[in-house]
Amino acid sequence: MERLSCILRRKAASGAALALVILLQSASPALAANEDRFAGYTPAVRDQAGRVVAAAGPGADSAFEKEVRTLRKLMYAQGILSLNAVPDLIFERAVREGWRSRLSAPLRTAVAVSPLSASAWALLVKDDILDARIDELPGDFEGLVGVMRQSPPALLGYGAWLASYLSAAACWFVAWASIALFLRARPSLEGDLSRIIIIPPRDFIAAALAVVVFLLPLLGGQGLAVAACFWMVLSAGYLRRGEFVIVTVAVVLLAALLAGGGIIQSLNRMGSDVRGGGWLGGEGYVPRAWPVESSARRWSLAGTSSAWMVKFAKARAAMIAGDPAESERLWTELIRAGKGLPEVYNNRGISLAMQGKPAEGLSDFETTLAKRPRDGPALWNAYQIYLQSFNLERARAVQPVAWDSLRRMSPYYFKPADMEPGEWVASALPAGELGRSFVESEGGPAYDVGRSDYFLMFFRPLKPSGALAFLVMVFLAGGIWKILATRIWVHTTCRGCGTRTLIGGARESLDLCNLCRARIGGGVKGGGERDRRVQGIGMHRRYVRACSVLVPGSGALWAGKEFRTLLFGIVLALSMAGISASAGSQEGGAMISELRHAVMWWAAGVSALVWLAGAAWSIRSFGRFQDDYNVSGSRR
Amino acid sequence: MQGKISDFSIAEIFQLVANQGKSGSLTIRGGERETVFIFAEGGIIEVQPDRRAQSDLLGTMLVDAGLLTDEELRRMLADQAKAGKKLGELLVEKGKVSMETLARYLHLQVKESVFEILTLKEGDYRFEGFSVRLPPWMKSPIRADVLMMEGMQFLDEAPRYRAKFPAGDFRVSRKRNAKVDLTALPPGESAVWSAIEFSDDPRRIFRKAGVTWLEGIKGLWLLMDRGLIHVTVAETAEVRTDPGRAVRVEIARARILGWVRAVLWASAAVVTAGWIYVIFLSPMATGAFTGWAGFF
Repeated sequence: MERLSCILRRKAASGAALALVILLQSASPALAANEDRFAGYTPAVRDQAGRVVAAAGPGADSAFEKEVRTLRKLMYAQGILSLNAVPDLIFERAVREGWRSRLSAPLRTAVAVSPLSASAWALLVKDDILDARIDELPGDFEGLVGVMRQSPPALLGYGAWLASYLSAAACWFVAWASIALFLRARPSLEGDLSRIIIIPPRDFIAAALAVVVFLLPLLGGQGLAVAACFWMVLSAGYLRRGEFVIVTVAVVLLAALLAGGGIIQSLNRMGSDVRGGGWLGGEGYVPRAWPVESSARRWSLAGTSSAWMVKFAKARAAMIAGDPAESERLWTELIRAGKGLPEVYNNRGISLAMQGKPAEGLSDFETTLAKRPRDGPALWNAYQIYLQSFNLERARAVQPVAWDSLRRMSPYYFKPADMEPGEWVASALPAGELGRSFVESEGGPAYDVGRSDYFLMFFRPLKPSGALAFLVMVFLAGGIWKILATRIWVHTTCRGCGTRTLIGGARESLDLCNLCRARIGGGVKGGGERDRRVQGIGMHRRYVRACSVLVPGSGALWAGKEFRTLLFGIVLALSMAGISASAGSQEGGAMISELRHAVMWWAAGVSALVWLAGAAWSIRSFGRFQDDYNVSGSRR
Repeated sequence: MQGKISDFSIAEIFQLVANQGKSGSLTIRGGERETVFIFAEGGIIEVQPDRRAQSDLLGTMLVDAGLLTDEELRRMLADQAKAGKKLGELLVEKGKVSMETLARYLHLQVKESVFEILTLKEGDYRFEGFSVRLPPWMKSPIRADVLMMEGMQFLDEAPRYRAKFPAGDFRVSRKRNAKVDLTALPPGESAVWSAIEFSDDPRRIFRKAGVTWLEGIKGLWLLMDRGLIHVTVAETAEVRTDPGRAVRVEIARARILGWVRAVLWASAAVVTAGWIYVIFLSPMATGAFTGWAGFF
């Protein structure tokens, strides 16, 4: 994204630059997945993970389930919660070997060892929906929601997705609204342009000038926000009050886009460490590099305010690498630094127990339970210690609540009855802490508003400090022009027949000409005026129909259905945003790519339907409106 | 009472007659014309323009306004000679014009005559007093002092308005597609705008609108200022074309304009589609919108 930003800053939209960006993007570390996906785990875990991937095959298979169970035991012995690379590799195999359509069963088995794989859960939900597996859907959906609650990368990812999707929808709405409103105002604007032209043929020059005015911001390389605001301000004077509401909504959405860009930029900056197997990937993926702590980096996870999270992830990495002593040291450092969260105590307890110090471990588990009495992992781990130390009375007392708490932990779906002594349940970094850090951080999204890719793309050439003021000015200018247009002589265009009339001191009441009000239709007089009017009506109808097809919903504006058109615009924008937020490069891995691909095609299909329905509705609305005023008739 | 205009201005003469509430006739000679105003108790009730100035006569005014044809006027004048009645009386009797229309045009005739003699700098006048009755079409005489004030004002403004138009004869037409809300226009301007449809000759336009030349030229200037009318220099030998030709030309022109507009906007649509692709669907745009995928 940084490379992209630089290119946008220089306004270099040349094909060569674009190609370079795509090339560099495709070479990003996230996609460089050919290396050992299980680096960082103990040899036993790595070998067993490899056997699981190799055993996977189409349909349900007991041998595969046995391998998964074995891996799960090994994982819990090391305090490993999830191996997200397992479903990734199984998916790649399925695609490669042609049994992708029968992947659901082995994938559902595999999530037992990769419960924090958001991609796997999302893929299962998608397959459940497409294959109409209603019985499986609630469980898989619960797993997906559980990942969001338990996994910081997933929480960040879904947050970023939501912000991106809504931003794309806002952009689509603004583009749609501004063009539709400009086309609505175009005939009147053209009439007024012809008033200022001295050289004949004035009407031809005015027609060309209206096109030039429309294209001006595009040819000038302005961003979407600037272009849309330019069109909306020009149109405002010729619009009805209901249509001005659409202008208001568009301006508000542009302001929201500013904020959305800031949020995404902040999340991107925050997540920059995730990509390429950063520390946040520690819970499901193998970290390949750790961020360098630096106070100079304003609010990032490597910054001072969030450095404890890096230490948390390092301690977890040490645990899963089979180094309980190192992890114990890191957990202790965290506790001394004031970050004695229940998760930290629980994990240190496991590290101690793994080193043969059950009493110290039990002490930490009890501390955890003192802080959070219903903590499932701590209850289970304490129960394990009681069993190991033959404190059967205490074990019996704890067992029901420990089992019950563990069973409820989505998306892990622990089965305590199948679990054996020596299996530990570690605690992941609480996703809520990440959100808290995000909200409480200095600057945060507000700091990033002017640095976001969205700002560079959609608000150029504005400066970050002036963007909000610009939007306020746009709204005020539109309002002033609208009020002024009711007091000076400007053109209005009859919505029924397209006749242009120069009026002064009035606006909305006169957007239907007297002939349409009188329902005269095409019949005016016996002479040539009738032919001229019939021709005018025909040209107006063709214009509105063309607008309705190119910008669906715009015909309904001519029919006076502003608020229904506003709702239609929102629906269209939401469907089109599905394409923008899903299309593009393969970032995110094979499973996410397939999901994006599916969403993109679904969104494209829905968008096409909405587009066609909108065009048909617009044409029908306008046709009915004309019928109501007998515009298509020819009463003499 | 008689004297020279250079000694006692026309405005002063009218004011004197009006203030003293005199009845009788005021004859003003100047510029090779002789105009007679009939007063009743200080107000003007009638004017008899010089016969040599055909355009100022009531019959010509009604023909100009399209209320009579040349042929009808000739017949009426012949009947008038036989019956010994005034033309206006005959026209009302025969039902050619209504009493209200006659009153309106006689009023206009008085105004035009007064405004015209106000331009005289040389000449003489003679007032002869006698009792005068109000004619049946007139409810109350026209106040000379009010008319004088109105005339002086227009006389001041007239050169300025006239200078906006081509010297010599000119023609006026509505601009293509120009439509106005008549209720929003001042009455004089509105009447002139409506009358432009009737003719392109300013004289006939003003007669149709029932306004004097001075009022009409001001109305035309305001319409021109609003960008509603075209003004062209009149050709010396005008050829009358059939009335449908202008509409046919306009329709053909509108068709060409429609095609030009369609081509221009189709090109704009292509450019806009490219722009939409770049900002929403190009790899660059989707790269910005799909950054979220890197989190998974």
